[in-house]
Amino acid sequence: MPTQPDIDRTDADLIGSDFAALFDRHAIAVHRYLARRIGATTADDLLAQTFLVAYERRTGYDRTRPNARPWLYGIATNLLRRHNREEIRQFRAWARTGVDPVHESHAARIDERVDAQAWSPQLAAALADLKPPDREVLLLFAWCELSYPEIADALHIPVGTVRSRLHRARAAVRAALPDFAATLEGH
Amino acid sequence: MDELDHLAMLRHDVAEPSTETLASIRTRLDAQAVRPAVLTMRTRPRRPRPTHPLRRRAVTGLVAAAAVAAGAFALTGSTGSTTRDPGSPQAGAPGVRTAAPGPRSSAPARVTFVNASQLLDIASDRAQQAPSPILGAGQYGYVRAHRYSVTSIDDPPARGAYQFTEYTVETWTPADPLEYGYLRLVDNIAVDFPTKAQREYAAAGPGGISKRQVEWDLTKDGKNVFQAYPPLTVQPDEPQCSGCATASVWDIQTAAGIAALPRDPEKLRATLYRYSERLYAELAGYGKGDQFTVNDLAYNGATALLTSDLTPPDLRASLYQVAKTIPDIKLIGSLENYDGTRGVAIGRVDSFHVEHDLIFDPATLTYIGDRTIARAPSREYEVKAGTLLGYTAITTGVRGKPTLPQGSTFPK
Repeated sequence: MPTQPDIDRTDADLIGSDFAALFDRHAIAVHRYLARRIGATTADDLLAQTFLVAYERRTGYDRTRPNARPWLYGIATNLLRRHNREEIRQFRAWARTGVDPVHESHAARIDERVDAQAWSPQLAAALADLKPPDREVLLLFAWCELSYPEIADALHIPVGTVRSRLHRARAAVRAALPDFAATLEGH
Repeated sequence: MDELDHLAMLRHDVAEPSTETLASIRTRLDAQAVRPAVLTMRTRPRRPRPTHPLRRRAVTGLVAAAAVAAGAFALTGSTGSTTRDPGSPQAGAPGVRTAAPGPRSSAPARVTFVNASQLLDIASDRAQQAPSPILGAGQYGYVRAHRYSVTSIDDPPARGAYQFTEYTVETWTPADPLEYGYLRLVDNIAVDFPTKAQREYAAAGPGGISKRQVEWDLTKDGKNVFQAYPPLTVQPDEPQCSGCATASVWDIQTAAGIAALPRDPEKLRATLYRYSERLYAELAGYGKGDQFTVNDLAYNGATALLTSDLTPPDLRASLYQVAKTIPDIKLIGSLENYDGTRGVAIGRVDSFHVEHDLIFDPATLTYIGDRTIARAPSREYEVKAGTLLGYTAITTGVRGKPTLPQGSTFPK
């Protein structure tokens, strides 16, 4: 059998033989997801917890699944549930004040932010109003770009449930944003 | 832009973790003894899921994996009724959608496409540069096609009715085409019907409304050669027609046939159109009036080959160049496949006002699915304009040999 270079090793290979390389491969992406949801400071802690939990569970990982992203995002999402109230508080604060507390936590000055888009507070309000399971599915889809089966794997729910939650969440977000909904181009 | 595009922009510029943070976490992991070492994986058997009782019935017309994967663009004519939206965005969104900025990674940078020709050029370049997967001993090229499509009911007295079905085909293809491959088909889950009348018509048939059925076949050189499970009467498939007067591109979907296709784009185009003209002449002989044009058939043929797992990268690259020359191919823009994976699509509307879209991964431009949608009302299927007629999600990889179910048989 030919020896394959590291870049070709699947996540399943790394889980079995080089867990640190798995961390190197996915840490930034998982941290990004966590930080977008709850802010950088908490994301740092949750990133560590995610990979520690993953390491503890590594022997139970299904090796027929070469891509561990859904598994890692699932662990991260589960850890985020303890911070559900804080997440909602941040979104509501954003909706109320127009200032994103997550960006504040990165010490970025308001006047330096490039993309102060008018609809962001309305989106934040819509996200705060979603039921947590619907918000999880929506953000795994929109921010992590997981597919329906991957989201189902991550959250241990049927694909049909993913579809229905995503449909509901998208409808709720659209309904909460009447201003730009009217300006959608041909959709 | 829709709400997903706006969501993608929300906090998209959040800062990455610092080097110190990452090093600190890595140190904590190292303390848990995760240094590169041979860690023995204790394989735990998966908990079996509850199974549904299977209704066994004779299945005829088994299709080879390549044909099924390519069947996204089989000749359907104008058909279909009943609108079922499995969550796809509204069809025909004009213009180009730029992919939202994402985290830094080693994946190819995303490109904003301005037209279909540019996408096909880049897809051609990427296909030429992409290495073929290395199959070691005991490994197989794996393709999973998850598909929703309109299908006809052939059993009397329900013959003539249509139904929307959902099925999954998985294929395991060995490196050596003379070795057996495997095909698993979860078949014909009727999920909807064009009209109430067609549902009642189908229910009145001998099999009733079709239920889920699982089937395993052995394949060789892209053709189904043996039904291994359920252990019904073994009937090998009829050999594909090759060299006969009506040979079309659908008849050369074997490893040998594909290997024989020219790689030079001009010669490949000439071959594709020669096959398409033969098929056009055959269909014209049926005297049905409206029919596919030669360009319709050439597009169908090119996409049939592009969606086949037997098509190697060099042929794929040439097919993209050929597709550029087929009239009326448009850039559709952002489009999800049937599993919800976001991609970028090109498409073409045929003479029966049916749009056939190919969906690509926006970063690698590998094929990840397709969509077929009626752009005008269809009398045959009794559907309105905008009805989804087909939708596919393709997943590929390298797998080990599958385990056939108990009771499966092998040829002697």
